Amino acid sequence: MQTDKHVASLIDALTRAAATVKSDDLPELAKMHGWCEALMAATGSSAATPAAPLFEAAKGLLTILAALILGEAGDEKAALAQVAYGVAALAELGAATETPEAGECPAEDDGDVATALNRVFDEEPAAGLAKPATAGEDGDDTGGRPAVAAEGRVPAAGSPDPRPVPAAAAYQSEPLRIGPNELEFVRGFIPEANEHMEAIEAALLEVERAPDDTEQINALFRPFHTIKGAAGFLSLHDINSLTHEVETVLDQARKGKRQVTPALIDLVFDVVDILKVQVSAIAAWLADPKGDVVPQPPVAEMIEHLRRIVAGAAEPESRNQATAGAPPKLGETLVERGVCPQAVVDFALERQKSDAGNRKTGEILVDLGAATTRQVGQALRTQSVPAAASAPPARAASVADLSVRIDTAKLDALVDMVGELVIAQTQVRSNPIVATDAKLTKDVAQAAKIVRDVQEVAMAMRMVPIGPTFQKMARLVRDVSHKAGKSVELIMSGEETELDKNVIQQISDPLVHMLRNAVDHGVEAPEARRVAGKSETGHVHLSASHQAGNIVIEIRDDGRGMDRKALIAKGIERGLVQPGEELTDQQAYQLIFAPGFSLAAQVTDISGRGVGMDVVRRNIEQLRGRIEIASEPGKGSRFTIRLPLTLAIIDGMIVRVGTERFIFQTITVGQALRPRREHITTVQQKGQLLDVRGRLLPLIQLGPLFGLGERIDPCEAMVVIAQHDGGQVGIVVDELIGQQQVVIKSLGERFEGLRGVSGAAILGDGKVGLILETSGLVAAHNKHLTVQRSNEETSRVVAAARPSTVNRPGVTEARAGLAAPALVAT
Amino acid sequence: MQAVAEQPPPVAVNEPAPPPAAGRELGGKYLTFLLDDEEHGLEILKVREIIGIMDITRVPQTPDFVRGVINLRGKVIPVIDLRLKFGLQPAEYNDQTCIIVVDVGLLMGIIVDTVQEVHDIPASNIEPPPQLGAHVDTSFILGMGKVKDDVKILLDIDKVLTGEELVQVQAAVSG
Repeated sequence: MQTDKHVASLIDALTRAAATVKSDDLPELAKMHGWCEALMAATGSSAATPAAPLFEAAKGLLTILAALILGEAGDEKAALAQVAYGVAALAELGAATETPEAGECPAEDDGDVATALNRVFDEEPAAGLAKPATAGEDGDDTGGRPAVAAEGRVPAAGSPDPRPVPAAAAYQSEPLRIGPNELEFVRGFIPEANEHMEAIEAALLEVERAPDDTEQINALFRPFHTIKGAAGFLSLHDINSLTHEVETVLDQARKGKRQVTPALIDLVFDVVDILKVQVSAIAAWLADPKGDVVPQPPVAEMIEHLRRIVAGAAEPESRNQATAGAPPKLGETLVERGVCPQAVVDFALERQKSDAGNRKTGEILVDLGAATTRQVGQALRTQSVPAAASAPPARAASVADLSVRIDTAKLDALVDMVGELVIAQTQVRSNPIVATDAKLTKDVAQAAKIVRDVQEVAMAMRMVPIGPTFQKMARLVRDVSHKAGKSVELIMSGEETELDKNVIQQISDPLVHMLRNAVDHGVEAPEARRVAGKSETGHVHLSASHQAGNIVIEIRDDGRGMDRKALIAKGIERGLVQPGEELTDQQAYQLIFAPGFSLAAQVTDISGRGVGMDVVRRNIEQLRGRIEIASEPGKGSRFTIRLPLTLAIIDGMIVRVGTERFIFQTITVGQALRPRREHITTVQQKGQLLDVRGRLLPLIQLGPLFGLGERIDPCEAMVVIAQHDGGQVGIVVDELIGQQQVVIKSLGERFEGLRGVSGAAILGDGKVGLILETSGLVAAHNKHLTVQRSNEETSRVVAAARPSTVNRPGVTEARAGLAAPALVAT
Repeated sequence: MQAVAEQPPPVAVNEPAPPPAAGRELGGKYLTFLLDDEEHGLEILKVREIIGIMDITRVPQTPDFVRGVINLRGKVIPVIDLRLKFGLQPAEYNDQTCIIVVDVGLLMGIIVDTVQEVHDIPASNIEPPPQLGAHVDTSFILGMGKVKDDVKILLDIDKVLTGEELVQVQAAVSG
């Protein structure tokens, strides 16, 4: 046939090309791509069914080739191996279709080749092509690891189809080494894998009950697939290969090409057992890492057995066919293990009889609540597994059981309620009756201590180490520095520092922006560094630590530093700074946080749009933290982020203004003082300034600003010195009430636009106090002054005869309450 | 601060009221309350609880009808004075004054002079809101409910409470 000849020549050409092609040989790859397309055109149009697998196979191959050409294949070596495998499969298929007696070729096998090739494509993410889509972990962390997994699997282990690799290749177990960077991920993998194995066992029992229910087989398939993906990602070669093989067997069952027999179910149980031993061996090593090779129980035999089964060279055999599925045995095992008493088993057996015997004893026992699925599964497995294989190291199992995964919503609710408990406790303790009774005082103190402990534990439950976040940054720095043509070493410390989970989630973005800036703008190009007498490799330090109840994250580079003058010049150009205005270093550096502010002459694809730092400041403020910048031209810059330990509770300083109470976050308060008259300067139009050791700080009056009352004479009251954006302001308050830990409550969406107030807290007496936010206060204050000033100008124009009324309280208040657009149109 | 008098009444949007009750079953139970001697009602399904007047924490940068926030067993919820919202004369709070906590997607408190009772008003006894001319906004009135000889103003509390931003951001000053 014409078509057949055409197809055969295309396959020939592909086979020849596949033997020699290199991943960077674009013309050759493009040619192969073309042939694949032609092949698809030829086979797709032909109505003959034998060609359909060819079409599918060519399609799979085409996708891999396209990824290679576009450079999207993460691991080109593995991808090439997949191409070779795909072409070999095509050749096999082509040969099959060419045979005159195509009908003789078992249809089932044809499907297998197509399936196998499609699987090659399915697995392509895990093997390092395109985006790694492995469960649980971020693609950022792959760092070239998939190469090992993919190489191991694709040519040898990953050939589920019997024909391209005619005899099942002997499986070679590789020594497992877990690098320090992977420890955390592997540790996370253990509970995950255990969870999936439990799911597998439960699903197996279901499959046993209804062997023809493909939905159940799918349910069995999924957890294996997830384990496989994660294991491949973590280079857990043995686990990866084992799950891969069993998946292939299950796939045959799923597609109806293999019958689900009790023997097959036993086989899968065996695999789960081996997996468990594997996982617990790793867990044991993690708990007590001795030597750099993780001891791994043998899997080769099972893998080869599975391969033979897939190839049709062997059948799953139940080692104790006679007893498999024989209910009394299960009951005996359970009784023997003390899971449930004989009477319960008898009852279950009786019920089984009355149920016309189509339910398994184990199932009935589970339904009765007499045994867990897991216990039944374990008992079932002892029926078919030699005792030696079924005894996992007990110690390792207990290590893995030490963690529980909890919905974060539940944790949040717990933390909220503990917060309420703390408040209630404070209220009880401040009740005057308590002090009158010695016993009561003691009891209340004891309760208070317990509540504090509970609070600490509740908070600790939300804490996770920052290490994994840092790891992502390492990858980022590597990529960005390569892109920018710089050599940068990232030095990390304090990865074990624990932060609130919510904080970790929100700190990631700012870190990305800041590190990107450090590499792109901070560190100079190698030549420039050499000229400046520095090592060609730039250094970026990323560290985390606890300091005085705060988390401090520091990003330090040894690059060119920031140019104060250039910053100010740009600030003036952008209208952020008035010409001639004196700025402190801090104020100048803080300019980089202004939206759209960028010194980059050119926008690169790494940075320069001036969006990043704006986001940094916003995120950090949302976390109620602050950021400080230090820089020395030619020597580098240092960004210090200070964050509260948690988002739920803050240390607050409670103050009174008029009849209202407000809360300052203690972290933002430098000091509180009662100023002397001579330290106060009243500047027309700029309000009052306070001289604190030679520095002039603007004074903010909350009364007029918030429309709550008269301004307070600072010399009769207190001034709280608070930090904002690296600067300081004084806020005049009537009285300091005290310090207290408060649970933060959101004011809700209806108050989103509020400036200077970041939330609310419930005070000791149950009333709500507002939490002040300094940056917003300063912004509101400045606006207030502007409104005041333009009002005044207007009034001068309108009624020139009227005397100047800068600080007349009535006027101020009225304007504060008024959204007077007409007056301030400038 | 008495400067509020200069402010325009907060509700000044005078679009012709669309038929508010279109396709909505109006009959049902209404909680009635007094506001400046006028009887009002709101759907009982919206009411979460009724509490006596309590300490309210004022929130800056808000229109004066927003009295502030209260602590409702650990939740911080906004409270609105319905008198001020409707441009009526403010009144002193006394032991008759109540906060009705309503659920309009989120919890909010409304301050009323006094709570009266719950009436079952059939749809046949509810008339569409009156057209009172362009200068009276009737868009947040569900209808006029007749109970014996009395007429009660039935409020569409969602419209009353969610129609306007609570935070008055001061007019933007360029620069």
